[in-house]
Amino acid sequence: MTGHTLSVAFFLAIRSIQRGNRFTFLLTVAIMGLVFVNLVFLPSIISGVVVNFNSQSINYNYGNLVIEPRENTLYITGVAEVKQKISQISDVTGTSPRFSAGATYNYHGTQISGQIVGFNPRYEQEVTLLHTRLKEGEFLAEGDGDSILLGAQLAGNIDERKDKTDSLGGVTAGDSVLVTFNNGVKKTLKVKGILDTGSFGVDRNGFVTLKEINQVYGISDTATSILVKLSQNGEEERCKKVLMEYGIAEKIRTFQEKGQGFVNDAIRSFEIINAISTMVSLVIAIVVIFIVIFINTINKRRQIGILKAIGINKKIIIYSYIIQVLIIATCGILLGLALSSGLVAYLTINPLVFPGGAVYPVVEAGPVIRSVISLALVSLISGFIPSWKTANEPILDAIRGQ
Amino acid sequence: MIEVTDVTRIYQMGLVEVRALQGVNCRIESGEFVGIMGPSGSGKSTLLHILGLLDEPTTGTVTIDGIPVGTLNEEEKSDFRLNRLGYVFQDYALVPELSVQENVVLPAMARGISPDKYLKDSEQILHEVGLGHRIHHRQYELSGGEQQRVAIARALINRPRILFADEPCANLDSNTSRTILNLFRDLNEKFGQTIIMVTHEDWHEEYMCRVLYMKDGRIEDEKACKMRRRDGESDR
Repeated sequence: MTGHTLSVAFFLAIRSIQRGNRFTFLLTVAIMGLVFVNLVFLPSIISGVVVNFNSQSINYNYGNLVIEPRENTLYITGVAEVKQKISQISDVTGTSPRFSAGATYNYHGTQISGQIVGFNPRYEQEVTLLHTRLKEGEFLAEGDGDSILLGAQLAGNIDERKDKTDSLGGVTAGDSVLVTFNNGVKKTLKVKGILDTGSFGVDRNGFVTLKEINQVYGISDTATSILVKLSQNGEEERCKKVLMEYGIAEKIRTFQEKGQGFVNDAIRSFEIINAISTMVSLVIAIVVIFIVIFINTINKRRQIGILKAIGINKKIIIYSYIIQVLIIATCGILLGLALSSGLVAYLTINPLVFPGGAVYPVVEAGPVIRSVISLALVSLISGFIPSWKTANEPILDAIRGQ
Repeated sequence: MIEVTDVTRIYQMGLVEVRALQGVNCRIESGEFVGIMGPSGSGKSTLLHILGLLDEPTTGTVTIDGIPVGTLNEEEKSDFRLNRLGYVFQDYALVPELSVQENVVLPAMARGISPDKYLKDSEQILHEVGLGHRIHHRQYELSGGEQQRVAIARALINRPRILFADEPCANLDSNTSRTILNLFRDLNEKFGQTIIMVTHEDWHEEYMCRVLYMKDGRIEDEKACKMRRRDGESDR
């Protein structure tokens, strides 16, 4: 390819776009832009779900790592010793032993079964952000007894239409609820605060101090799990190995492993939908570009024949169509980027609400680059084929329109 | 110089074999203005297309300036047309998205001529064909005669050895046709431009050096006309 071949092709392409049918050009660019939005939008929501799931898991459910009882045991005993071992690791910034058990909550005759979680409020604040998500009331203090925090879903609303699931019907801070622990002990606990994390698994629970649990179950230095907070997210697998090397014999699981199941299934389903949607979008892009260039070359068949007759190399003709297509694709991609940015900005202000909480779209470089490359590629192919076909016709057939 | 030897051209139209040319022999000298005339279906356009490398003979040879053009591949033919031949078509065949000057410079751009030169050349040629004031106009702003003059200017931009014209006056009234034919005559007289033109009109003969009369795919007759190439005229 010589320089002037390309410059003549570029000249013809620019003039064709400048002085050709503007409506067709704008319509094609608009379609390409919408295809681009479609290619970028769903992955951004999937990424948003993943980011939301990860942050919910770390901040409210599990911390980065969860230490669980050994095989065939129900509890971690000697918690203080385990905690001290874990705390020696430089990457660990906090540990919070927890005790979870089944319980039944009773409020004004409404009875709901759920989980009750005991923790040391001081340790818990080193690991999770539960203390920052109080809808009303106060967080637990270390020495609190006969007090409970209720998740917002469990506490519910007086107007039950506002509830997403069965609830206690509108418990507020200062009320009392009767809690029946799974060992049969019944206690009336004063509601110190209502937690609203947006995470369904957290907001269905009640929370008391470990001191309360120890009294109810007559235990001490015992937990059903220890949450571990790391200085940096993403280091879970490495720190898991370090903990094992430090002689932690209990089961160690990352927050991702704990969350396997529902969320992973949802993400897999999303990805299948995304793959289908991507395929359909790209096929639409191919068909649109192909039809536009095909009709264009059919309409200009005679002109292409004349150009060849006067000695214009067919490469110049083919390149001019390819350059036109690339300009259309570039404009479409830029329009798509602008539309996607607008959509992302809108959904950042008005996030989508999923069962795991509010999901903000996360636009990652990978899907954007993939979309740009795939759109450019399909444009190239669908622009090349019809122009190549017409440019290779015998000159007289093209001139006569046969 | 063009030499045509035993050229035949047979088309297959469905099951029917059409013998468009049946053994054409002729010789056209440099600097001649030659007309090809004859009734519809006589093979005059087919001969012009073969001479202009737009079509290939079924048998026979065409030699232009000593080059047997049948031996050239597609790429070489394209270069040959660009560098040595010029074409004027019946319906002007301009690129509608380009201005007058852009249409004219296109073949020069494709040759890789510098912009300074092709812009200067195009202005000169457009002045020669009487369109110096229409340089930046578009096709839709021009009359038929003006469009045909743009097509002639485009055909001349690369200073071709031979100019082919396929019924260039077919869509023009007689006055405009005279303008075009006068232009051809001037090019032929002043610059020794070789011109081969297909036409239906008998009165066009007065502008030509020689006319080849075709019938049933053969040159049936040829006639020298009033307009003769002046001896000693140098080729362009």
